[in-house]
Amino acid sequence: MRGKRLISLLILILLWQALSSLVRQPFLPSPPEVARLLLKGSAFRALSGHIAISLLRVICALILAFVPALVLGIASGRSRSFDRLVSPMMYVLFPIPKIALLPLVILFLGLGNGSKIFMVSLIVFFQYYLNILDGVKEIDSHYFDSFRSLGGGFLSSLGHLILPALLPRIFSSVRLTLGTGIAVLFLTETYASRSGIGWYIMDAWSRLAYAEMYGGIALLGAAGYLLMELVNLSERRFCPWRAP
Amino acid sequence: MVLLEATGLSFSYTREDGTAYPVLKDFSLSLDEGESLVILGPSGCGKSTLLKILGGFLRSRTGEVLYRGRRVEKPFRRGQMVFQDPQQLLPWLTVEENMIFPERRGRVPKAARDSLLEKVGIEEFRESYTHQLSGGMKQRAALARALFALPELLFMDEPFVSLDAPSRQELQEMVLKLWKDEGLSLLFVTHDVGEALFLADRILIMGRDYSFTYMANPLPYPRERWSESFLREEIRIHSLLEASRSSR
Repeated sequence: MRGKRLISLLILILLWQALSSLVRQPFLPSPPEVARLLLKGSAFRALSGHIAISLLRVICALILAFVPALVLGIASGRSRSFDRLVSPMMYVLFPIPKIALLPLVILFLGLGNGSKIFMVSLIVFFQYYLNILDGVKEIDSHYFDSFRSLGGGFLSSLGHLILPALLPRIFSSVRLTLGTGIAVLFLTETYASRSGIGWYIMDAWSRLAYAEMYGGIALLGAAGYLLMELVNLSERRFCPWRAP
Repeated sequence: MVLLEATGLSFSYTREDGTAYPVLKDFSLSLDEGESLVILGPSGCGKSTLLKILGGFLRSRTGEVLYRGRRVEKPFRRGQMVFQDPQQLLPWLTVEENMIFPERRGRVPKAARDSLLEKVGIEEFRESYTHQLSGGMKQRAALARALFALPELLFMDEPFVSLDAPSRQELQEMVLKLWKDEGLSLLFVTHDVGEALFLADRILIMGRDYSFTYMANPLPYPRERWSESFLREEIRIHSLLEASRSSR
């Protein structure tokens, strides 16, 4: 299994190498050129610092979006009248390209972390909400019937039924929103910013420092891969009933 | 002594076009303590709906259900339901955790857990998740789960319908034993005449025309499935069932 993963990553690097050899342009350096830069201590330290800032922002944003989406998703999933009240609003707001609100968000929250975290949360919130809503609606009604026959009420069903039943879907949502979150954060960091991997990559591009630019992209990809693996590992740990 | 009594029950489902589709009309039932009543009837005659109303999972439009003289308005602990597919088993819990749900393992003495697992013959699967079990084992786990609540009354909705014949017979024998040993009352829904004759003190035949007929099971215990009297009764009930198949 681990061998196949390594082969998959190797194929990606070989494709990059092949494209670089084919194009032979300074704006597409080869993997060894980028690796040489990353192996330099100073460049790696600078890049790691920006990656750490970006990941912290993404993680804060995901948590900030997850909590209200979970509460609203469960409430809508279990109460038809609440669903009728809330879901139409969500369906209207979901397709609006919220990234267009970035200048406005910056006016309200400033140029620091607040506006970037808020922007990412705003976008991933809807993905969480819709996924959790569908997940709650899909929970077999027999579970609730059986739980009620044992005297369980709504509040105790949260911990005993709803959250465990939702866990696999929550992990799927985290995987999905992690990708979206990183992409959105990249955009927000290119806008009047002096830190984060988005700023680093765009700054390197403006200086024509292509090896640095690709170093940033490669490290961002690696960080994304590690986070995905962490989510998968957590899913295996917390959802042991899932058939492999 | 009467344990469960229902009078004047009516129930309709609503079709997609908004019109009502009645399944029960002015239905009555009475179950004595320790009695085994099997409800028999063709598909679509309202057997499962009736069981859900009696168990408090659905509300009848008219009439009432009384358990020990008290009105049933929601599911109750002393009346446990075992569904057709063991849908009440939670996939994120092991067999043992499902059995004692919502209690935690540490709060239930091991001897009590062992005894119940052994009673339903599933002790070697106690750590398995439900997707690792066969249909028969799932039903045993569902039974263990129902019995853990110390019910007086078991509602069973075609629990063995998806099992192969040997597993079905094995579980029927186990239910019969549990019913006698635990002093339970049983309300069992099936469309299998042999199963009804094997398990019932009394059989209720429901028709698609909202009719219902009670008949005592004359067969003494232990019941031999291939005995002449068993087969004779089976033929008699089949003919009664045929008569009840008239369409709505």
